Amino acid sequence: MTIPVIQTRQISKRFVRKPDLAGRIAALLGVRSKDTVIHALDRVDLAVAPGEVVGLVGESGSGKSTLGRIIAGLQEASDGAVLFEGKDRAAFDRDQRKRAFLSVQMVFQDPMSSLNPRLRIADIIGEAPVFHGIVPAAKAHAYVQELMETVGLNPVYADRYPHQFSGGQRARIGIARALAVKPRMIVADEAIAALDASIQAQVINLFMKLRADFGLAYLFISHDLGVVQHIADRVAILYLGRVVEIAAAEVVLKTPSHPYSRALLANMPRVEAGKHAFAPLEGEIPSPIDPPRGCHFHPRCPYAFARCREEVPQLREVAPGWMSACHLNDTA
Amino acid sequence: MTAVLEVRDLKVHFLTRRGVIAAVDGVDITVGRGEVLGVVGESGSGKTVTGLSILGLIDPPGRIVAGSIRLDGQELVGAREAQWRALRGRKIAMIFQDPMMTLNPVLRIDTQMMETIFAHEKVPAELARQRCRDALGRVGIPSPEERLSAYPHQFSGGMRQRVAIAIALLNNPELIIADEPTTALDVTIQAQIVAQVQKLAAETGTAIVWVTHDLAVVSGLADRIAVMYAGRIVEEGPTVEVLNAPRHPYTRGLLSSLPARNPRGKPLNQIPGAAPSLLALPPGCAFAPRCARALDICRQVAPAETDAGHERRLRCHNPLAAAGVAA
Repeated sequence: MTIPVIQTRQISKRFVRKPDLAGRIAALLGVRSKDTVIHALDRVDLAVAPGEVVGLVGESGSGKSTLGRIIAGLQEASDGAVLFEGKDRAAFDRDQRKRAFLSVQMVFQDPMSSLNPRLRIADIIGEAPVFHGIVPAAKAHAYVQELMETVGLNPVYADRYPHQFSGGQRARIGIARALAVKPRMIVADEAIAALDASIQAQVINLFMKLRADFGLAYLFISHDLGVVQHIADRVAILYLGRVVEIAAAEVVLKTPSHPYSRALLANMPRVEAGKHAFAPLEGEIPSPIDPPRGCHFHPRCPYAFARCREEVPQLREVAPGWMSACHLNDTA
Repeated sequence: MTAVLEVRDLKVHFLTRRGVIAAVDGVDITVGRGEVLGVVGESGSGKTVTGLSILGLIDPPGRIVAGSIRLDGQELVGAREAQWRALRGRKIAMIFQDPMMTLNPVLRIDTQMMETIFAHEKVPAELARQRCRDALGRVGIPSPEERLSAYPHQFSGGMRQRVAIAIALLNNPELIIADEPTTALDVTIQAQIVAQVQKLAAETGTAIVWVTHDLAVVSGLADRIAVMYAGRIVEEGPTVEVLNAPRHPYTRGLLSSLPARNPRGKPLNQIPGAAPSLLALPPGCAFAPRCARALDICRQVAPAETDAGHERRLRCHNPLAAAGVAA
């Protein structure tokens, strides 16, 4: 088996909010209060093989962006380990760390707020590779031009500023910047969500072309199941910080096993369906401050039974390469 | 079917320092009682401005330069502010994308809702409160009595949007303009809201203009679809027919770029280029520079609207063949 580029081992992330001034005064007066803890991720295992595209799907508050940011090294996990090429990133020395973090780059949703408005495109793309010694400063100009062509931007615009570009072009600049340090993997966090329909297809095609040309792996975070279904090899579905199902894209998005995956799929709007009556899933995603006991999905699940309210279901293999976390898998 | 809303040749221009922007350039819309019209377009296509002009919410530098908007036969273009105040919230209501912007954060829900009733009617406070409670119940908010005295920040995004819809429904309007009302919501919440709106439109006979960039959402909801590009409606017709047999190359391009309509893992069909700047529209058809079917005439003369049969309208010199004729 090939060694995954990135593998997370039981990572959890908790955000703790310290009590505010009023809370501290109350504590001085003897009122006992607890810190507010947001459980963003709960023991997540996920691996991305070289050249593989893994789709990460979930609603807001499911922890998908947090997982992406931890994998890209922008945040630290509270527990668990992130392995880069099979080795724990936390145990790396300085050079190894640098290589590990440069190898995983991130593309953000909003290209306008992720590009410095006061820098020219040439500097936005060229700064990191020069700083990290990937390209000597003297050759930076040619390197940037080549990258711009790779992502479908006209190199004559290298001296322009971000505001002079359209949304689709800005997305391409963000991608060129990520490519500039020669990563092995890209974490794309809703990278096409802000784009118009006719531009989305262009950028999706670019992502696929880059994968073919450079053998890039992707963690493709999106709420759009249609897009994920199209480009991902495997899909992980996240609900309130836990992976509920993970399998090959054609399996998980056609015949999902977990009740949440099924509900998500049924609620996805489709052009094909024509005018029809919607049969929505009841309720909303619960607060991560006080997640439900047992299976996180049980308050909304039509199949929930007593065990779901008490015991956390573990991810279990229901077919080769197909994992699902549901107590129903044991009874079926 | 009697038309609730009739928009004819609406033109809305914005006078800017860099020139005149024709945000809406000759739009015709007809919506019947209980009908849902989906207005679909990309950013800058004029879909939002069309919606805002129906409520008289175009502010300078924008202005309606031509055309007519009739609600139940009453002309709205040139209406005085007093007339608008009597109409808005009573006969026409609007639902915006972000309910946090529509709701006043420092007022309780009941205060805001009752205000909407008192603006148009003299009713006892107790009765008004009861109507508000019923309205919240109708949009699926649990325990409406208690929720009435909550503040907007105590609701989740989906619940806030339900409150906004409840407010829009309070005075049983004849027409609701909904501008991307589910765009900020998760898919499961979006499905809940769409289901609710679908049910309410059927029950109350309220006509709905649903403005969105998402073809998939309106495909499940709308009776008719109007596709906008650069300030014009380029294709309009019954939802199923437009989606199954688009005749304008832009509509077809949008549909065939959807991942679901492409083989998995293969490059998507894409529309080349980007939407033109409204300051520098090409002569002729605005879509011609991106269109694979463009003829010489497309680059010179803007196509007029033609009746394409089967209740469909088109603006194209070289449309795709109608279904049945096409190979």
